[in-house]
Amino acid sequence: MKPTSSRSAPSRPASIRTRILVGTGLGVVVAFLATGVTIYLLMRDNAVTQLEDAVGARARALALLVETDADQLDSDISERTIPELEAGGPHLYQLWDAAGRVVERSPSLGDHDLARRGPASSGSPSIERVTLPDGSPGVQATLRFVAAPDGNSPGTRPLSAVLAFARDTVDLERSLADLRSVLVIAGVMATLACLGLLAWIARFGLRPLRTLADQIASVDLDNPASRFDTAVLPSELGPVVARLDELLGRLREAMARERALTADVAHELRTPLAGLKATLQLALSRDRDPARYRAAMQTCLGICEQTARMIEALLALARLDDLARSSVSIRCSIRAVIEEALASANARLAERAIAVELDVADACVEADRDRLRLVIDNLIDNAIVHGDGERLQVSVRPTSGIVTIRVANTGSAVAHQDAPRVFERFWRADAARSVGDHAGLGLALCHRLVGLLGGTITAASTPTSGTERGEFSIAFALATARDTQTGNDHQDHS
Amino acid sequence: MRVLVIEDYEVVREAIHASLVEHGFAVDATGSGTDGAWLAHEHDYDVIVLDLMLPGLDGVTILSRLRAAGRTAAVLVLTARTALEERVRALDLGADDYLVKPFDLAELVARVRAMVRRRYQTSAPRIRVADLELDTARRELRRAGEVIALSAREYALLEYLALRAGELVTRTEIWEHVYDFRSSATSNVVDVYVGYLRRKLEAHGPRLIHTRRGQGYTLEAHLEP
Repeated sequence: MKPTSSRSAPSRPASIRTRILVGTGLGVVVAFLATGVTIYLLMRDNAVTQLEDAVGARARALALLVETDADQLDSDISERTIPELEAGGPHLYQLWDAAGRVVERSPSLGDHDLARRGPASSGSPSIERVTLPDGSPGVQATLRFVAAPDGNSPGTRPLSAVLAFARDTVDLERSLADLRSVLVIAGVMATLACLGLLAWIARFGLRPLRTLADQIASVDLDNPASRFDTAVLPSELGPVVARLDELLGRLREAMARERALTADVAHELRTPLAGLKATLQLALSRDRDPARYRAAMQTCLGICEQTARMIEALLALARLDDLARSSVSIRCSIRAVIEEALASANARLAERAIAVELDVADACVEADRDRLRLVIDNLIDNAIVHGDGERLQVSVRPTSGIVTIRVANTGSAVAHQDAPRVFERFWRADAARSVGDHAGLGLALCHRLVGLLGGTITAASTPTSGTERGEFSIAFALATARDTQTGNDHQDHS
Repeated sequence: MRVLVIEDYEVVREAIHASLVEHGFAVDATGSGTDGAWLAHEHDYDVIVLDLMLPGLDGVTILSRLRAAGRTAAVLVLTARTALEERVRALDLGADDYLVKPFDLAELVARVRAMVRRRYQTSAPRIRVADLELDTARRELRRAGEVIALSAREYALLEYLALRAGELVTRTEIWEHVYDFRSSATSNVVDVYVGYLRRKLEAHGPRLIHTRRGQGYTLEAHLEP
């Protein structure tokens, strides 16, 4: 298939078939035109040259028949001797003496004269296109020569004369006209035939595209075995099909992730529903005193609120795609954000008597402050909820160009190899019910947020040997704000 | 009948606990898989209500270890996972029944009762011994057609004896199957209750609860000499 170059048009680009047809059609037309014209011109020149040569030769031949006889030009030219000079024929001749008086002319001329132009010197005839006296186009050879003396009077001084021999070119013109017609007709038919062939070839050549289109239409997204059959497609479509396959794979993955999320959510919602149902059924199973009813209703309300928070967290995760477009980056001091987050978590920390250890160097980042705060809030919340309530460590360490913020707590050890999984939606270390606000989504949220902030986040777990406890920490790294990277004091020791 | 409930979601656990107690069962409940496993091995429960997703030891492990140790408690598995493979797996590992969350509380209690019946090989919900008729669904006792009012504990005790009618039931066994671990463990509480029960029964007919000295009690029409 002919590769097409893209000619950009203001509106939709022309179809491939149109381009092929227009392109090659024009080429064919031009080629045929050029060929036809060339053939015509060559043939015409050839014919004309031949005619002119013949006329010239004839003139010379005729000149030989003119002799000087006793101071007179005497020619042996007549209808008898030269049959082609017959009256009514295409050939004409005329003879002048040196002074320009007409000596003889062919009968066809009647009273008319041929033009008496002529070469300046004797020798070769001058050959010209002329209009003959009767109006038709012709070719005339005019020859200035010296008539040889008659053999009978050898001493006579030879006289110079001018002889003109002309022929009309009517047949020539007619033949050329015929040739023109033939060439035009042949050219047009050939062009049409070519265009027809091209149209068919274009359609035939483009059929694989239709095959591909049919294959695409028949792809079943849900059936992973449904792929493209490259065997029935030409090699040029190979790269296209490869990319389509890739796209299909990614689409299927995305659909699977969607389904997984929906399944996760449905599964997670069963738990609070089971709680609501069991509580309500128990309360309703027999007459109870109002305090019991109130307690049951309170429990149910708590469950509803917990579920609502979980759903909000899920929606927040889903909405992060939109939020990505509306972030505002400003220069923030990490220390300030951490101090704020700790202040707002203060009540919970105090209630659980958690000791907070801070090792916060001052560093600045260019980031969306709200998101940064959200990440730190979630990390602190996670540490409070899943830690054993002894220690909470927050550290900020700047190294060359990067600042690492780390939140660590002691608690029941997450298995070392499970550490990266904490960022999965709904994943919990113990596969047990969460008691926190975010129902296993807090760290997934952190993961997305840090991604949007342009940083990286990791989790690490170091179990204390011999116990089921250990230290769990989450660290995320962001690029420091640009002007703190150059020659600042605490950057020197990195 | 004694039931162990192992479920980590406290709302559901407490609802099951309360409901079973209201239906006359002696119930021990825990949210920890490890504690639950220990309890299951320590005591001979009639039924264990087991959630599969637990902290510490997960339900499937508890179940397989239980069966490997030869424990015959009937196990009702609770889970939020509906996948067929999960259900089949749990049943194959030794569970007797399966309930998917969210479940109907009344259905759970009824299934527990059915498992008790199966355990004691009584297919009918009504147990008859001599002229006694116990309606286990309604927890009612009739002797010769007349209703005899019993306290919850008394009924539970009689039901156990009736399920094992004609067999020798030791005090320990009564303790294990009729009392939960929170009951105060005085040595003669069983005897005291047997006494209460006898008094009420014998007001309506000849003795049915017989003592075999030093060994235990039997509920039957008459004692072989």
